[in-house]
Amino acid sequence: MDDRSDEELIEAVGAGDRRAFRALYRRYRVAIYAFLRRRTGDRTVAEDLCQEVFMAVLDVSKRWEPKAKVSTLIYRIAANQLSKARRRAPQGSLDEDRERAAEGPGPEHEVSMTEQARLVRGALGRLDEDQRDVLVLHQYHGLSYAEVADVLEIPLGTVRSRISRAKAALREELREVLIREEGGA
Amino acid sequence: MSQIEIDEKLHEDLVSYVDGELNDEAKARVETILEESSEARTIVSELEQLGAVMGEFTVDEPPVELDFKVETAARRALKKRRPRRMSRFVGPAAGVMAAAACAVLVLTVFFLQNAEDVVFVVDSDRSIQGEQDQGILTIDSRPQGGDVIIDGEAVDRGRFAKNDPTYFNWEVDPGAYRVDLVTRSVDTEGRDDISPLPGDGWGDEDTRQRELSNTTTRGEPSMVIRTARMRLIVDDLERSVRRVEDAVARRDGHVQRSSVERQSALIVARVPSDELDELRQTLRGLGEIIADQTRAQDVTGEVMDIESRLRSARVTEERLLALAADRTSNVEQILAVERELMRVREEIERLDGRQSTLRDQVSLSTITIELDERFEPVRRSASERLGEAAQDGVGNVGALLLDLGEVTAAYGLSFLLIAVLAYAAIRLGLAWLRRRRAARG
Repeated sequence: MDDRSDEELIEAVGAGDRRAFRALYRRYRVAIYAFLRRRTGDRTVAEDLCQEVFMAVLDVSKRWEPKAKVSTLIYRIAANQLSKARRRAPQGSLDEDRERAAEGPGPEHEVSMTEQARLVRGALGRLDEDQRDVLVLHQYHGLSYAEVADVLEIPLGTVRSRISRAKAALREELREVLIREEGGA
Repeated sequence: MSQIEIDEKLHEDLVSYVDGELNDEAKARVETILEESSEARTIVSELEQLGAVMGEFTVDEPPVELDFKVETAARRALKKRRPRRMSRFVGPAAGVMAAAACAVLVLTVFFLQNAEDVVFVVDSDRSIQGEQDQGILTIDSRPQGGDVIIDGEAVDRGRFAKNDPTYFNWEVDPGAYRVDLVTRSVDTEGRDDISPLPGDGWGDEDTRQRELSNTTTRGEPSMVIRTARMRLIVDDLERSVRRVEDAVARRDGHVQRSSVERQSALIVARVPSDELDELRQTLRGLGEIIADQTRAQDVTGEVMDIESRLRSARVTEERLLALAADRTSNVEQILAVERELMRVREEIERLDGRQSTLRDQVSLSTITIELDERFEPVRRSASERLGEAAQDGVGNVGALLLDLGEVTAAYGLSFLLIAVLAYAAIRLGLAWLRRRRAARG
């Protein structure tokens, strides 16, 4: 376990330190993979994009300047790679969440996922792409509104409104689950 | 109480409130609203539940294959970057090399100043350049057909390189050496092998004395032609030539032939035979003697023979004159006598001329004096040698730049064209490789 800060690590990566890269990768691999996995719905595509993200991090590290947080930088790269992948891919092919939500529970995680998780996954998939991006970054990756704005390079107010609309939609989609939860509680 | 309308703006505030994204002022305002509006409280409650419900949706850990792929790709990328990392060592390495070069220079100067070396440099048409290095004296540019004299001793020709007669190495002890060059060669026996004088008889002083002491069997003094040859190394060639001419003149002699060049002179003089030895003695003081040779040729027998034949021819001439005066002879007889008389007179003239020559040669000796100006060895200091080396270096740089300029002028456009084509080919090749890899990937 490398005790160096993100900033120290990326600086060392820029100088060609292989161990620093490994440490940085290990620190963000789960989050970035999860982000891409949730956003693409395809494990193979998520893996390819994840590799591209960290190669881009390697490239950016040479000219990195301590202006932004390293985490923000990595998420921004991931978001950019995702946008590029969406532009390259056929229309809708990377919206597997949406498709699976429409088709019902998919076979892939059927065993491991709870019913509630599948509902959440389906509801997320039916959100607008823009709303889903901000919500996932905030909800699952712990980024503040400001950091989400920074990553996606959109105004803070836009982040706020998209999250609000996304959560409003999810409240409607998951109303039954929420009622059950309330009853259970 | 619940009359507050939950519009989009308020919903945003409620969501931000649940997410902890409000500042204190906005947070206080929302809390006021929550106290007043049950609908707002319901929304907040649902939002909090929604957060808990969403937490159920997790994804798997990235596969190990991904870790392997990413770390392998990174290792390759960093490997390519390694030369740039090396650049940080270029500065220190250059410093170390510069320091080493300075150390070598200082040590070189030190050794040059402390070495007991002798450097011989003579710049002239017949220049020699000698340099003692590790006990080896190297001399270049031996004069064509001449000799190298080191401390008065002619260098054995066997020392010269067979494939390059102008170069030789000679092992010497550290110290100073005088190197002289002479235009003619002297072999180890002291014989002149380049322009030997006619006849034989070069020898040492004892031989000469023996020859001079000989007399004819009839008690008449010997008729001996004496010639001499001297070769000297002198410090001042012009002054030495003048002194030779003066010495010859003082002894009632004369200079028969004189040839003075830049660093050597050849003088052929005639002096009375009995003055020859004194003249040689005088000339020995001019400089260092490289050769001092005499030759004595006894012509007594030849002179006596000529005199005898001359007397006989004159008797014959008188008889023929008597026959020619006889009036009783016919024309044929008269013509025959005159032909014989002409032949006899020619014989008399020839014998008379030969006798005069021999007598002249006996009375006046011929001495050939060769003078060579000394080639002073020039000792160069270490700084001078370094200075010359630096000048050579500057000259070499200039020559190199000139060569580069010529090459550029001659082939620059061609090189440029080739470089452009090569660059384009490499770029196309790399692009093709990338496309191929991408297609495979």
